Amino acid sequence: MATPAAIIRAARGGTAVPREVEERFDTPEAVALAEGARSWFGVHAGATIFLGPDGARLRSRFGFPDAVAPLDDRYLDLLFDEDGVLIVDDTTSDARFGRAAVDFAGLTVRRLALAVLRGADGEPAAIYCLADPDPSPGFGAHYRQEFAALARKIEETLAADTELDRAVEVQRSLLPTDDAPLPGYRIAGFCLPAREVGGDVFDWYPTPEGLAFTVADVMGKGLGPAIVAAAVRAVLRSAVRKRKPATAVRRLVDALGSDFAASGEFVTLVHGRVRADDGRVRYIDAGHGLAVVVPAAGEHRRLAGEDVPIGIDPEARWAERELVLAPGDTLLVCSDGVLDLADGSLAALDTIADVARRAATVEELVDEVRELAQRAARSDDVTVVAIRRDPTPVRRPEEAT
Amino acid sequence: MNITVSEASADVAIMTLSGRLNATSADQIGAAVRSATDTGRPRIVLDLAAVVFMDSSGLGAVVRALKTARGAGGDLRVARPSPQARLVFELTNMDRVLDFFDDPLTAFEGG
Repeated sequence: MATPAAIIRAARGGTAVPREVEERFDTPEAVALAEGARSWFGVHAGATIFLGPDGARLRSRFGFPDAVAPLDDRYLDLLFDEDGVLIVDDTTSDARFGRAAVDFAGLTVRRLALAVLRGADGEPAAIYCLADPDPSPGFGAHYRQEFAALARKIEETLAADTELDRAVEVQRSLLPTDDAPLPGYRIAGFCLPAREVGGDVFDWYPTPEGLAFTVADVMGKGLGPAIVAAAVRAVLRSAVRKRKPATAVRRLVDALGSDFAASGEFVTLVHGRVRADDGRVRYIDAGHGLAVVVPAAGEHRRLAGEDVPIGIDPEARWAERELVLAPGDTLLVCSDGVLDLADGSLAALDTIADVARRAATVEELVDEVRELAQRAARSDDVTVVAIRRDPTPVRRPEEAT
Repeated sequence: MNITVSEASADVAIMTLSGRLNATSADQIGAAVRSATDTGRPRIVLDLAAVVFMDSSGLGAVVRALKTARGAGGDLRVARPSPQARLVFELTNMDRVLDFFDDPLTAFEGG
């Protein structure tokens, strides 16, 4: 059986804690907590330490000279020998430290307090550390309890973050993966959240007549909008057997309208239905305004709607609109994060339409736009869904009559 | 983002916003609006002339401010949105819900 120390060491070859979670320890709240510990315990240095292949990464750091430093495994073993909390008042009088000042993560120290921080799964995830080159005044016996309590407090942040990771997984698992839900059409999409999870959602699925698709943007970022976005997706899906997109949207308003009124949240969305045989698309645009048709040949056009987002006005109505996708035409529906690709202007849609014209497949199209979005300075979730009707096949001579 | 609040009349608060109106500044607006409605000024003018950038979170903050103001028996009016902010209002058709005014001082005159 692996010892806890071995588990932590294994992290050096892999990723015990996602980088986003680690970076949470450099937020102003985390740094403020660290500053509080500095004055309370009267120590020179402190950090929450994550282990990785590049060494020890010091977050919420004060007093330590380097953000990344080597860390001797011996200290980890000592820490686990002591059941996860190790407090040493002076290393020069402690045989385990060779009765000398020691180098700990780039700082020569004599006074040291260490605690293992465990993730929500109970596995060691990080080490909380306070250190000082000066042994006086010592931590004292009564500090042991307080130090352990502080470590638990910091651990809570880690556990909450692990729950956020699960939320990321859940949100990703709700995205469609079938790239050909309707013969004669190809569909692809991506969502790049500005934070771990976001209020953007996209979806598609077969219907009795063809295909349904949704791009929705719940205002705000983070976990709250992500939960609402999951509800939006679920309610729209529940209307899969209803032919009209307006029926699905009405159901959404009935289900969530009062929640929106109470919370001050709202959602913009495009929800549409593609009819397989003739390429007819009926759709609702609720204050979204970011759908573009890129024809196989000719100029692209933005589908400007007139209806407001859902959750603003209890009296609002949403009108069904219609377009026809000719063979080779591409319908793009984006979230407003794409505007970041062109300094917040609609020119971003021209950029994406150009990509659509060049791209041989919708997969190529969304891959290229995703790369553009990754390079851009983003402050918002970016979502793009592309639906392309297959070009008319060139008939072989023996088929022509 | 910066907010300065001034009084146009007994029950009208003018909030002059400058900088970037996004998720980071949304809470600031919410707090300023609540403070105005709590102190008897439920009619609020948001002067957006100096807002260089507004995203959907910023729009969300404006909508929440609108709901707060109306919930307190007042209203919210937008003055002088910059071109980029105006685009965000237009894309979402929120320009049909919100009234735009050229002069923050007179946004509530005659109603």
